[in-house]
Amino acid sequence: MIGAHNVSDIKQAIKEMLVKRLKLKMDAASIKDDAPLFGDAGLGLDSIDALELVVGLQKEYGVVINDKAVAERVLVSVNTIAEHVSANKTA
Amino acid sequence: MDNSPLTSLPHAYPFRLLDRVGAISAERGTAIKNVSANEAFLQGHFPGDPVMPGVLIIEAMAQLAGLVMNNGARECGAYVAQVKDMRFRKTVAPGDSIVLSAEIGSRFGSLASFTVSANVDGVVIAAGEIVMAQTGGKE
Repeated sequence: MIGAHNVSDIKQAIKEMLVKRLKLKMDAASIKDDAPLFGDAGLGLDSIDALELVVGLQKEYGVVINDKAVAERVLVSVNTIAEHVSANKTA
Repeated sequence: MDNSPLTSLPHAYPFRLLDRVGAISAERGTAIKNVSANEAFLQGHFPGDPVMPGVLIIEAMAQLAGLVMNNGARECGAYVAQVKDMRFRKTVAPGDSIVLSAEIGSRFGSLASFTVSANVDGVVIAAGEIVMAQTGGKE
């Protein structure tokens, strides 16, 4: 099943999930892979968005993030989320 | 001495919107709010047509959610961080006894989301989701 779930597909799916679940007023295509999720320099997400994102990753991919250190490493950009998802997804 | 979880509620008169708290666990809880004709907010909402404001139903849900978040103990406070998909299906009038329930969904950091509902006479009158942010105390 090579290619069915490669990292670039996952990145695209994550961008779509960001826009949909967090009701972002932008196109999924306009989100850069390495744009910071939090802070004004990036997407400007807040901690409530982070909760929604964690719930989304669990529902869509079965990836559980409940450790603060893991969250700080994974919830950085689309790139870091995609890497974590492709390494840990169960769904 | 009253040892019920209600004594752990940090809210005081006139903003204590729970009259009795049922079982509280780390996952869920129930409580009752009896709406009396004497409620101050019914004086003006509305004269001659007393209806409990929907925002106060949300507040009652949030007070219960805060108790669940702290597992019935008064270790930390909790503030409302988000109200989602709240729907009011019927109005609440004097004499109604509102049975509230809150169940924790996901937790992340100091935030927790709750599925909340309010019933009168076994009928859902309001339901939705509330995100609470824990404050103070231990992390």
